[in-house]
Amino acid sequence: MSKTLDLGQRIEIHSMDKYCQDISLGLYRQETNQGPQFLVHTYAGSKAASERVEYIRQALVTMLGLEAVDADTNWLKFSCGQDHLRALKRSFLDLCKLETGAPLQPKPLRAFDKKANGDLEATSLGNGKYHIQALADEETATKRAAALARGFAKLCEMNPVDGEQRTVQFPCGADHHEVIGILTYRAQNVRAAMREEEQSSGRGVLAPPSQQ
Amino acid sequence: MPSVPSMTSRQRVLAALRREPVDRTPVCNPTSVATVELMDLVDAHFPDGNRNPEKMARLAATGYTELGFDSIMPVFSIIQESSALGCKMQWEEKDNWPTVRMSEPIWSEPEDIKIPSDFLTHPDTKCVLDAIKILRKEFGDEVAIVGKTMGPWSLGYHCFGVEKFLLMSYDDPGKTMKCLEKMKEATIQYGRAQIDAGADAVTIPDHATGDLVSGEYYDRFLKEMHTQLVDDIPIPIILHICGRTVDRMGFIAETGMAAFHYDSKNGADESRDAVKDRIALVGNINNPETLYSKGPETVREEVYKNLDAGIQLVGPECAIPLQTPIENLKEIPLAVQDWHRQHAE
Repeated sequence: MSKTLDLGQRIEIHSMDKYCQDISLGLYRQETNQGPQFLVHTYAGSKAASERVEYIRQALVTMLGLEAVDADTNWLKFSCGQDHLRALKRSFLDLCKLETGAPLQPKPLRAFDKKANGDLEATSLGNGKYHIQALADEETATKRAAALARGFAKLCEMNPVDGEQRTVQFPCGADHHEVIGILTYRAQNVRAAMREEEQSSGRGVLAPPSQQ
Repeated sequence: MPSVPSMTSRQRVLAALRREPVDRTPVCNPTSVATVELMDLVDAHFPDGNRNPEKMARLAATGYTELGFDSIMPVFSIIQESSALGCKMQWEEKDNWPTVRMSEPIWSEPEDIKIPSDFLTHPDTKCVLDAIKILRKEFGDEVAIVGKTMGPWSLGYHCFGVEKFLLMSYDDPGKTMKCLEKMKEATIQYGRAQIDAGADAVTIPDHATGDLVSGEYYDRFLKEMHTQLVDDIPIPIILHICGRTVDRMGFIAETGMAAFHYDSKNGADESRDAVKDRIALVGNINNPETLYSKGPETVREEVYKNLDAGIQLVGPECAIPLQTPIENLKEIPLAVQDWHRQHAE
């Protein structure tokens, strides 16, 4: 009798959780009539593993803005009913780096940017549209704001707004402040984020002796 | 396909390895199908899963009990015997493969090659033997248990270092042959010990891979040696060589080995043409693109491609990435069953 479950498609995995017995945490996706829904799952059977899963689930709710599909299950969805897959996968991996019990609260839409030597802020214009501005009025800072907007476009699969280098919009047309907040740091360093993704994708792949 | 009475998984695999009729194409993994999630499921993480026989057996069994494959293959890594030979090891963590530190070779001359007296009782070789015994006891004749013993060419990489071994093969073919002959003893000893432990078949990975050596090289250095192994290890042998290997499949087919585990870099049809029914083929579902990164639909397409070409045993092309999604692996036997259902109508 198989003990594995039919949870749909596993879209991301944190393969070794240093905060919980090195368990693996999977993020699963199922398509339903109401749109895509997501579940954090581990096949580890310990009580600590269950607590860890619940913590990461709660982190997705609080820090990424997902909401429970209904009161009876642990499945989650975006309020807009869409995927935002890339942003979700990246955020999931980042949230798995939090120790269980670490306080959870949404990240602000304003963050210090070293290269701009000042804060950059995402201002919501409604309908999923965000304008990025540098609080310092300098050319470098303005360029960094445009770079951050491009970072969001890449990591959150947002669309650039015509003629506006520093404005991007979620294709669903809904606001996702928590997504913007949690991914600001990654969007500031989008190349590093991509590099990290590439490196982690090679882990666990057995190379023949000739390539080791 | 002629109508064949229902078979057990073991009967199915063994018949296919003999290229005899089967009730349906077996799903066989001559190499690892362990994943990090399966490790969690049975509480048998790497590196312990490579070093503790109970954990090794438990993790290996999931290939049959959870994924629905027709074989169980407990030797996940390619380094167990190299550890027993004295190579320096890096056992790594749960989510990565153990490796031999090939930059610190242990041999450089044929005279250096000595199979230690404790080769088969060393913890890392004994672990495999004990795991096979556990699996045989638990599953009886229900499922095929496939062992693994590394071929002399791969041992050459591990013990001499890849670059040094390859350079030696260019500079001094005679010396290289002498080394291969001596290392072959480890392959044979370990293979026979696995037969005694209860293995039904053994995989011999011998990485004369397409990216490093030519088909002519295979013919010159390994064909005869592999032919001898058929007599020395008297159970079905599945040869595994990664990469593009069509240029040597004709030679491989002449060795008398039961099957060749072939890579997705080779098309199913061209591979069948190359071996001309003289050896069974096992494979060749792509690992890094399909099983690891894509979904069940793509897995199914690749399974069907193999079945349409008449490949005798279907399975992943090599040891799967440890983060492979379970749903993709479970799709392989489902697709095989559906294909046969459709073709029986």
